[in-house]
Amino acid sequence: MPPLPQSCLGLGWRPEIAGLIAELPGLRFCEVIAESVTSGTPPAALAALRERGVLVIPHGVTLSLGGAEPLAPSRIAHLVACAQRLDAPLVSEHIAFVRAGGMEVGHLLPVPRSRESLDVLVRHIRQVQDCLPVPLALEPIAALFDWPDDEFSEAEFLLELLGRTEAWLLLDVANVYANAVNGGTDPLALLARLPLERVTYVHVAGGTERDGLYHDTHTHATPQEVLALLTELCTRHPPPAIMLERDGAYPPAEELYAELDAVADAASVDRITP
Amino acid sequence: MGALVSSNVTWGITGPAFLTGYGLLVPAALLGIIVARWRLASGPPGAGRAELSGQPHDIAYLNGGPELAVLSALSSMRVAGTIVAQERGRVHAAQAVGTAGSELERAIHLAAIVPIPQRELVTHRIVRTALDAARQRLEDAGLLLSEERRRRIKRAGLWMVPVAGLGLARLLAGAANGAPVGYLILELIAVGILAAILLSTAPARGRRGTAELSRLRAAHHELDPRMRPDWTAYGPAVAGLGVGIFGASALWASDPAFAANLEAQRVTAGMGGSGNYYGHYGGGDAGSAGHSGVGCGSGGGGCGGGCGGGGGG
Amino acid sequence: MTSAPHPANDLASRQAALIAALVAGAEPPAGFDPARVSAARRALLVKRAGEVASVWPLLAASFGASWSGRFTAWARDRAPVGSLRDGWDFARALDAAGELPELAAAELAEREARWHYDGRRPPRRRQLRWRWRRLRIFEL
Repeated sequence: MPPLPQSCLGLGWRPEIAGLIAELPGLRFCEVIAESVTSGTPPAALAALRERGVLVIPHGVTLSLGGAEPLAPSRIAHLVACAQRLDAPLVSEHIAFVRAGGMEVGHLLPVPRSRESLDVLVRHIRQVQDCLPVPLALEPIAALFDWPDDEFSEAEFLLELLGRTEAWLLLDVANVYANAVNGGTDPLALLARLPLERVTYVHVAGGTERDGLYHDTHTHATPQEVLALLTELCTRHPPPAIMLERDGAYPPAEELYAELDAVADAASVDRITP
Repeated sequence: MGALVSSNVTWGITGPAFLTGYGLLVPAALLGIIVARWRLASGPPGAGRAELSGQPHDIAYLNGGPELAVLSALSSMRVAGTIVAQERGRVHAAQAVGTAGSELERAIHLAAIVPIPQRELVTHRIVRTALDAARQRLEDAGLLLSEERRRRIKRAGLWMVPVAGLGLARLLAGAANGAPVGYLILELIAVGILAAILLSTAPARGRRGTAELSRLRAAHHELDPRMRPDWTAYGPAVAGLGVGIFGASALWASDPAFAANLEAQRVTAGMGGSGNYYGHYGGGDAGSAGHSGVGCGSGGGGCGGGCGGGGGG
Repeated sequence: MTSAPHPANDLASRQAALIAALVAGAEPPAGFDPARVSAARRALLVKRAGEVASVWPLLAASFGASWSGRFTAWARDRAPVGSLRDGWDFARALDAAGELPELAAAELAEREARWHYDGRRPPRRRQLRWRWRRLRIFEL
C-alpha cells in the first residue's frame, strides 16, 4: 500500500484557494493537478505545504491512458518530474481517454469495456508504471453514456485491469454515485462488487442534477446521497484516505470548511478545519 | 582631499588639479547626502509597527497612495455586496456597510449614495477625510514619511550648495584670470542638476514601509494575481488585501468584470493564460482535462529519453 | 505488446468518431444513446466556455452573463483547439463581424502584439519583447 497517512481527510489543491488550504491545521495530504504545475519549481504555496510535511499527490488528467493512440512521452516525463519534485507518495490518473484523431476533447471520456480496450489500457499503464518511481493509482470516471460494445460490467472491467497491472484504485464515490444513478442501478450494489482492498484513497465531490441526469461538476456542494455512500463505504472497508475535490464556483471559506467537516463526519475521520 | 578643500582660496592650484579634486568632492558630497537621506527615510526611531494586516486599505495606501486605497476598498465592498458598478466607471452604494467594513468603506458608501464616477471618489470630501486618517496612521507607524520628514530629506540636498559655491567661486576667479573654464562649467552644470533633483524629491514611503510591503508580499504569496485568488472564497477583507499588496493587477485577475466596469488602470502583468505558472483546468463533469500540454521539453521516446534524471525538467 | 496492432487502429477510429460527435458537430456513432451523447455535448460546451473565460477574462467579462451562451453558439460545431486558441478564434470572428466589445478588443490587441498566431498552429511568442515583459512580471 502506498505510504499515505491513515484515516485522514485531504482537499484538492487549487491555486485559487491556496490560502484557505494553507490554513487547514489538520491537513496531511492533498492533490495537485499535474498539468497545472509547470516544468519549473513548484509554486511557493505547494512548497510551503511540503515543508509542513503535507504530502502532495500529482493527479494527471491528460495522459489519455485509454486512448488508442500511443502515450506522449513528454506527458509521462512530466508526471515523473512532478512525482520527483514533490517527493510524492504516489501518482494518480484516470481510466479514460481525452484525445483521438487529432482532437482534444478537454474532458475525460469513458472507454469501451472490451478486451481490446483493456489491452490498450494495460499496455499504457505498464508503460507509465515502468517510468514512475512511485506507485500509480487509477480513477474510474463518471460517464453520462456507455459504449454499445461493452463486454464487461464496470466492476469486472476494473478487477481485470487492476489484476493485470497491479495498479491501485483511486475510488471516486461521487463517480460511483453518478454512474449508478445515470445507469439506473444501485450505487451500493456497485460498491459491493468493487475491489475495495485495492483502494489507496477516495475522492468525494459535488454535482448537480440536470434534465434527469446527475452531473459530477465539482462546482457544487457534495450532495447528501454521496456523503451517505461515503459513510457506507467507510463502514464496509475504511479507505486509507479521503479527499474532497472542488474545481470552481468556490463558496465562501466558512461554507467550504463546513463541507470538509461534513465529509470528515461522514467518513468518521478527524476534522481538519481551523 | 581634505587639504584641498581647506586650502581654501589660495588658488595656488593648477586647473587640472582643481578639476580632479572637485570631481572627487562632488561624489563625496553626494554620498554623504544619500546616506543622510537614507537615514532620514528610516523613519523616527521610536515609532512601532502598526497592525497593518488588519487594515487592507491602509496597506493599499502604503503601496499605491489614495487611488489604490480606494480601489482596495471598492474590491472589498464588491465582494461584501455593499457597492455595485454601473456603466462608465460609476459606482453606486448597495447594502449597508456592516461593522466589518472599514472607515474608508463607510465613507465610500456615503459618497456613492448617488452614483459617482470611481475616479472622483478620491477627491470627495467624506472619502478624503477617511484617506487622510489612513495616511496619518501610516505616518504614525513610521511607514509613510510625514511632510516634515520629507522636507528634511529634501533639505539634505543643501549640502550641494557650498559645493556649487566653491565651484562658482573658482569659475569666477579663473575667468577673471583668463584661464580656460569649459570643463569646470560642465562640472558645475552637473552639480546644479544634482542639487535640483535632491532638493525637490523625497520618497513617500519610508524604508520601514517598503520593508513591510515586501514582508506582506512574501507572507501572502497565495494572493499573487497569477494564482487568480477566488474572492468569494477568501471574503471581502482578503480581496482588499490582495489589491493592497499586489495593486490593480489583483483586481483584474480576480474580478475582471468589475475591474472593467471601474475602468481601473489596466495592468497586464499576471494576466492572461500563458503568462502564469498554472495551466487552466475548469471544473468538469468527471474531473477535467485541460490543454496546457506541459512538457519537460525533452520529449524523447519512452522513459529512458524523457526528462528522467534527478529532479527532472 | 499484448495485442495485435490492428484492433487498436479500429478502436482509434471509433474513439475519434465519438469525439467528433461530442465536440465537432458530427452524428453520434451507431449504437450510442443519442440523448445521452447530446447531454454530454452540452455539458462539454459549457465547460469549454468556462475554460476559455479563464484564459480570456476580458473577452468573457465583456459579455457578462451572456458569455456562455454566446461562446457555445459559436463553438458548437468547432472542434476545440485549446482554450487559448478557442478564445482567439472567437475574438477574431467577432472582430471580423464588427461585434468585438472594446474591452475584449484591447485584450485581443495585447495578445496579437505579444504572440504570433496564424490561426492554424499554436501561437508562438514574439521572442524579445516577451522576455522583457517576463522580467518585469517577476519584479512585481
